[in-house]
Amino acid sequence: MPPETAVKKADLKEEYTRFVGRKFLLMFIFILGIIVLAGVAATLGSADISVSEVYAAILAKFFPDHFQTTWFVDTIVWKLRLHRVLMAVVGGMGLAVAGAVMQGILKNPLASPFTLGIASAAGFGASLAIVLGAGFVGGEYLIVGNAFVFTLLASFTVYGLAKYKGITPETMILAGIAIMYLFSAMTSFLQYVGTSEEVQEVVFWMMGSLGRSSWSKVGLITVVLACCMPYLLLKSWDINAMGAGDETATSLGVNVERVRVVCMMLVSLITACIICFTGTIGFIGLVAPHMTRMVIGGDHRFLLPASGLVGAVLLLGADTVARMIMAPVILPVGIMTAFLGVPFFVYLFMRRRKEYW
Amino acid sequence: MVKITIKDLSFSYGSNRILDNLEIVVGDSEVLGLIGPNGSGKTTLIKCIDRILKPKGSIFLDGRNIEAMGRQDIARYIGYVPQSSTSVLSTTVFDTILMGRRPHMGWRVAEEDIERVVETMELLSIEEFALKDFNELSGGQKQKVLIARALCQEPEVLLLDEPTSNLDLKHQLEVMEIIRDLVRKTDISAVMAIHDLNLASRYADNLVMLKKGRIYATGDPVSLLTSENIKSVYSVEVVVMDNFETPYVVPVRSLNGGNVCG
Repeated sequence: MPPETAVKKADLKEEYTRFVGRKFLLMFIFILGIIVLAGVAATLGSADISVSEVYAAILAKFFPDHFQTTWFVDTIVWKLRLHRVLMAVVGGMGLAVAGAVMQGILKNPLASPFTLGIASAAGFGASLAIVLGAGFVGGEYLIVGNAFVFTLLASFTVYGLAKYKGITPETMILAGIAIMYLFSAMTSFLQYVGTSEEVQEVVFWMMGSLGRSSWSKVGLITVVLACCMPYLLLKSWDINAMGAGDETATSLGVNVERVRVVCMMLVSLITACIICFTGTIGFIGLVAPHMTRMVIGGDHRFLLPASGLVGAVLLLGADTVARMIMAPVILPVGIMTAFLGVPFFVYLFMRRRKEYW
Repeated sequence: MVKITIKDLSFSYGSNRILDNLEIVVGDSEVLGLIGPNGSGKTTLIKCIDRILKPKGSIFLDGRNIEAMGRQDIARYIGYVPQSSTSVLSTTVFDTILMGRRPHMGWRVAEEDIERVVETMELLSIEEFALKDFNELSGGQKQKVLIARALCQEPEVLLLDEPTSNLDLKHQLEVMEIIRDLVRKTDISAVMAIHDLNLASRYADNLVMLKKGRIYATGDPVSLLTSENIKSVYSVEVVVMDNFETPYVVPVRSLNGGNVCG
């Protein structure tokens, strides 16, 4: 090899290594952002505690010999606030990853976890429980169970409809639109026959809130994410290839239909697990992947985890603002994500540059 | 050595027969051009060979029946270059080409994969675009990137679907010369669907002329590109001239009467 070519080759390799290194650095910055924001978020509430007290209470749990805390701060942080903070982290993470995967497998920048009618189905499930008291699971899990089951039911219906015509992004999106309108109409009907208290509860549920969080719910979402993420990450190359078109992906050895269906099912499971506890929190799944793509690029090996981190920052940030802006009144976080998400979405639309549209 | 053997291949969309009993052999280091009018089945044939579509009949890759091969094995043998490609979501040129390594690598990108990408970029002189967004490139640059991606698969056969369809004259020649040089320098073969008969004449070793999904004629450009064949397949009257020992096709008039030349 001539020396000049060798130098050039080394330069290109080095440039690419730096390019990948920057992505890891950005992800590290996002993790730091979550840690800082979590500390701030846990200080919010009627009991006045500082950020350092919050970190001390958290670290004292793991390293009791090195960090001290008081019973009062420990109770406030661990029993009252931290599970809400972590619910925002895992919820935002799950919705953003789900959005990034949907945008990838549907090759559609407007796709989100709710594209396949999932949010409407969850809304209908919750409405059914609230208005008619009917559901699959009784007791305190009536609403949660209904939202979960109807979300998965919507996914299977979309899959069935699309399968009939061939699993392509177009058939899946069209089937999703049909399902969305069907469940929306059924929810409207339930609201029409429900009492004003029931309608109010339905509307409040659909706005999305982290107020119903608990450690067990955080644990469940974490387990589901931990089970689904390895497969999604493993299929990053396949999702990358599908972005170039189904035919190209097939020619590169990807079983396009199988990857699309399995990814769709996992995305539905993640989304169902989150929104059955929180209600439909919009915009995170749409906007977080776009924001991430702008800074980290379109390689799903990095885009998926980084979108998760950005989603966590966004939902935690939105919840923090929702709790601060009219304190002591806490706004539903779904309202805040939309308020923060819409201007950004319009900005993306107006910018409309080639690199991510 | 025979790279691809196609036997009794047929393909239909519902009741619409697109390809009918095709028999084709692709040899070692051969550029095979598929020519024929729109709708004659060129693109469908390319997709059938790569098993993007599933035809009836048999295809053997280096003697192995394609039906017994996994997708990954096929991807290691055949590199497919689509007519055009736009990525809805952004990817860099480097990542686009790296995608070609998918049949050979796991999740992690090995040093060898990066080296292969860099070498291919240098071979096609596109290293300056490495970290640019693929969608920002011109038509000619995109086509080179798509060829680079297919080459990174280290295939035995390149399938190209109208590789020059969106390119200006200079880029048409550049892309065709890249393909021909690759075939000459390495032992890969290329099968390309191509509209431009004069490019086919100049760069293909052999041609398959398709008409309504059937093979009308096969042979080298000199024997195949005759005014009779072209009149029969394209319904256009042409004069075939000798251009440095390759046929040069000049349309005279279409069969419905209009003069093509003035």
